[in-house]
Amino acid sequence: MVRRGLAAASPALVVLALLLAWDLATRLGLADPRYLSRPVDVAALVWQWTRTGFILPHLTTTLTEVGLGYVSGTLAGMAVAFLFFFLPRVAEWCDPLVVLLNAAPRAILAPFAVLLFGIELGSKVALVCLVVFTITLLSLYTGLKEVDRTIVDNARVMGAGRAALTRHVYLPAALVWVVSAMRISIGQAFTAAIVCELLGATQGLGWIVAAGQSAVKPDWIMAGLFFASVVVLLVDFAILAPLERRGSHWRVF
Amino acid sequence: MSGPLIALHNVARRFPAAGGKAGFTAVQGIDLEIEEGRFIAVVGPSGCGKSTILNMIAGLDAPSEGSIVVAGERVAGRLRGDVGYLFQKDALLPWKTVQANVELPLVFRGIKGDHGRIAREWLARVGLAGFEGNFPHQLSGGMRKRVALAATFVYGPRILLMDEPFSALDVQTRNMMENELLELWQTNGGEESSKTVIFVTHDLEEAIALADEVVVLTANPGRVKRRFHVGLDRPRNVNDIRFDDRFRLLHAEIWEALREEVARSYALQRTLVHG
Repeated sequence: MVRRGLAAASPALVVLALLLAWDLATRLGLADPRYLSRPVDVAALVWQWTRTGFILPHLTTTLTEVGLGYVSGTLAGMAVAFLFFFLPRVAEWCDPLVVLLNAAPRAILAPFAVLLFGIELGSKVALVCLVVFTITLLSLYTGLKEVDRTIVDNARVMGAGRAALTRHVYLPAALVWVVSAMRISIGQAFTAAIVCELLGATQGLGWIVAAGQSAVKPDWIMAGLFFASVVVLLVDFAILAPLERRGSHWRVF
Repeated sequence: MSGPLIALHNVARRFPAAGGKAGFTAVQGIDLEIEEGRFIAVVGPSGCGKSTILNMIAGLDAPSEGSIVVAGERVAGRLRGDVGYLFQKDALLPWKTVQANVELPLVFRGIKGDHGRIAREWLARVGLAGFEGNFPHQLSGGMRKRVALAATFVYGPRILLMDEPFSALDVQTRNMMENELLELWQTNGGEESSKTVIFVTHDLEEAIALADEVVVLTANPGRVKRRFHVGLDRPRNVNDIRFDDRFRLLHAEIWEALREEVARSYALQRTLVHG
């Protein structure tokens, strides 16, 4: 009983140990709290921002950017994946482009996005959309090619045309891939939005982090990081994980 | 109708070399005519192109050479509307319920009427009343095959292609399914003429127990080696018929023809594996 309780608590203990080490390091003079801040200070700041509502407009801004880019990127990725799947010739033509898009560290496009679309919403949505688009496209296209041949043949013999196949076979089969792509891309979507905000923004979690850096307020950076992580975890836990369970209830686990 | 329902003339199917794989001739010089309403079993060693023949008749695949004519129309890689196909692997949609799976061909074909009622009737006929709301993975292998049978019979195909449909089942379930198939075929769901069945199997006993005629194919590339008429009385019970003297004589005779091919196929595979 005690052992099982300990096992369940261990992950929390690891986090606690790390925080303690961080705190001790700043107190024993191993690290400079002016550049690293302290857990207690960060916690106080998080609490203050929450209480005063200071964080709210920043959260909303980043969430809006991610939300718009995420949805449009997922839909565009799905559309192009189906296009590639039904027109293999087109997929062949675009293959080098897709490989490049996948290999390139996409966050590096952030300065470009800011130049092109300005420091407001547009640049962030564009970059998030691109990142999510690439992940969705690759994952779904691979998934579509792996849909069980027998199931497809069977549906065709039973009289399914291309439209019916898409609706009753490919789309439901692809759903699993889309949702798993969404789970992979949510973290990257936030990274893209925040990197873009670092470069030029008037609001948002990235703006907080950038402001923390230029004013040498490490607790601002840490608190910004904290809010970003919590939001990603919440989105995954409250939306994506249940979606994945729902979408694959027919699977044998 | 005069003439055979299905006629294959000099049919060959070659798979060209691609992606580092050597070219492969699955079947060659196949001549086969099948009258309407007959239950034909096709046996042969593994790799002799049995499934390829079914795929070509269904129109899922096209012959490289020769012609396939079904009901007076040439089939060349175009799907026919009057064919049902039971695959060896599970082909049900795992994300749809049993009921929805059986309704699906009615939806695909735009068949009018109360789909729910028609599907329920067929499910009851294969002994699955009460399982309408289940998903395929919640059923046993035998039950999934029954769903597949219902989903095939539900749209009344004239030709039924079966590719080792029961080979993955345990012996008892398998015998039960064989009997049920025979019953469905004989009663034919109340339709006029009985379906023409081509049943591919590697199990000679199953072939004789079910069919009017057993076609023996040669080892790769597959050709028709001989055809054997099975004159056993119907209705049959596959469990009892195995003890019939005529069954045993026939089994010995066909096995004589099949054994050579199995041996050749085995030798062929050994040379492939060991270079």
